[in-house]
Amino acid sequence: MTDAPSRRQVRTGVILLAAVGAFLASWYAGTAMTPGSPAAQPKAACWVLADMDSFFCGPCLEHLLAFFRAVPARIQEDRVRGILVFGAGRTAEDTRRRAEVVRTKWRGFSQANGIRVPASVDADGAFAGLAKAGVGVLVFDPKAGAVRRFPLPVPARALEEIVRILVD
Amino acid sequence: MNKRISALILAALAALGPVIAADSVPAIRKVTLEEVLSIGGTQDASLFQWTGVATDAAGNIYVLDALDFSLKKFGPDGRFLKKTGRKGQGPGEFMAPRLLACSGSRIYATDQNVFGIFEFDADLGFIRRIPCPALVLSLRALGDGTLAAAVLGMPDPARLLVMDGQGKVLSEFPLADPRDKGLLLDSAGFALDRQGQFYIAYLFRDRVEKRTASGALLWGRSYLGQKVPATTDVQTIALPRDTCFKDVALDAFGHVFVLGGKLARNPSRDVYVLGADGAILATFALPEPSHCLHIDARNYLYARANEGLTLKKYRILYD
Repeated sequence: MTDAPSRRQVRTGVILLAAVGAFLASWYAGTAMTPGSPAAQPKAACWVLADMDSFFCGPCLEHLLAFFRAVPARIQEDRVRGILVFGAGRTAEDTRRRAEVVRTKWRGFSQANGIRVPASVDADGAFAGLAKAGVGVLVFDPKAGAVRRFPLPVPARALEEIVRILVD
Repeated sequence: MNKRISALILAALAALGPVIAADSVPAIRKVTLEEVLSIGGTQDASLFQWTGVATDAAGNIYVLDALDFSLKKFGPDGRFLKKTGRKGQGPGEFMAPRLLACSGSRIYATDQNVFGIFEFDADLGFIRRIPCPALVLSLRALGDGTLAAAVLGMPDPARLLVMDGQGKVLSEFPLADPRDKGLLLDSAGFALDRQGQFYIAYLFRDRVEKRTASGALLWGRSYLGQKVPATTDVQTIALPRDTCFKDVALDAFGHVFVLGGKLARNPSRDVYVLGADGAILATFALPEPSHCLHIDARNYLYARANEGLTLKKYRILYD
């Protein structure tokens, strides 16, 4: 005959069970996030480098618009990010002012054209080198496990391919 | 002469009427600007990249914006009144809005990618597209309902056309110089004086000219020391590289204000104030680079700031 567990033993048991449950849950979650499992499949993503210094150039705007027109709005919001690249000013203050100018211009341009892509200003010129080689679109293709670069204007065939990668 | 008094006299003269006799013009040695109005900036969404500006007799300000493909109207105090237009090729739509002019209650706009001149009423209602045989480089609305336009050549030379309100060409003359061998060297802006004579400032050539209404050359001068226009190859086509003069406008006294381009000491900021004979009377620099100049009937000067986010209006002060 065994003694009935005391109230304290019951409480300790519940705490232990909860701890084990939490551990198992976290272990399962960790397993699920392991690369290679279906749930961990990274999503396709796309970054658009927009050279804001060429926004005075009508054809350059047209190339950007052609790209955004081809990508469905839902995909734009979920998978595409804009990086607004611009030349640094002569001083840090001037660069900050230019960053604000660039932000405002993008706001006007995107609102007027129904562009849903969230965009960030490249305030410190992190992408300046990349932009110097030619602005364009960077696409992460999860199936190929590679990032690909498409200069603007993106030819129609490549545009179809980008959309396919982003939608898949 | 005291700056404020001279400005007041000018304002009074402008209120009496637009005509100021050339011989009443005092000699000037110095021109400065005093900012009186600023429209747009990073804190509001009025303008994003304005291209063309025009003003009516009541002081309303009309502006074309290339980033939201619109024509906007502001009151004399800078208050936003109305906006029209969107991207497209339908009536009242723009692909690349560029130039504006105003005459009476009519507003005329051009599109860099579309032949023709769009006519709007003062409430920004689209009226029609006036046919034009080529892309417009520079546009002025004349008081009698006619329009003057410098139009792009290629392969023909650029021309200066005077058209009626239906687009019928009344007169024209070529802008090309026989010595010009390169593309776009005949691109030019122009202004008209009250005698109907043209002041022409070339975009890629160091040359400002005065011509009669029929195109006869009265004088031609250089100011920037350019010997041969430099070129750059764009897909094997040699195109001029450096801008010389971006725009030209006349003040109420008939002085010629020419905006220097890349070759100016202060690129896109230096303004050369010329007499009717082409002599430089004064030079001043805009506070910020601009792509154009506009001087209204009240003798206020308009120019760009904040890379196109802002339109500034200045009082012109003469010493």
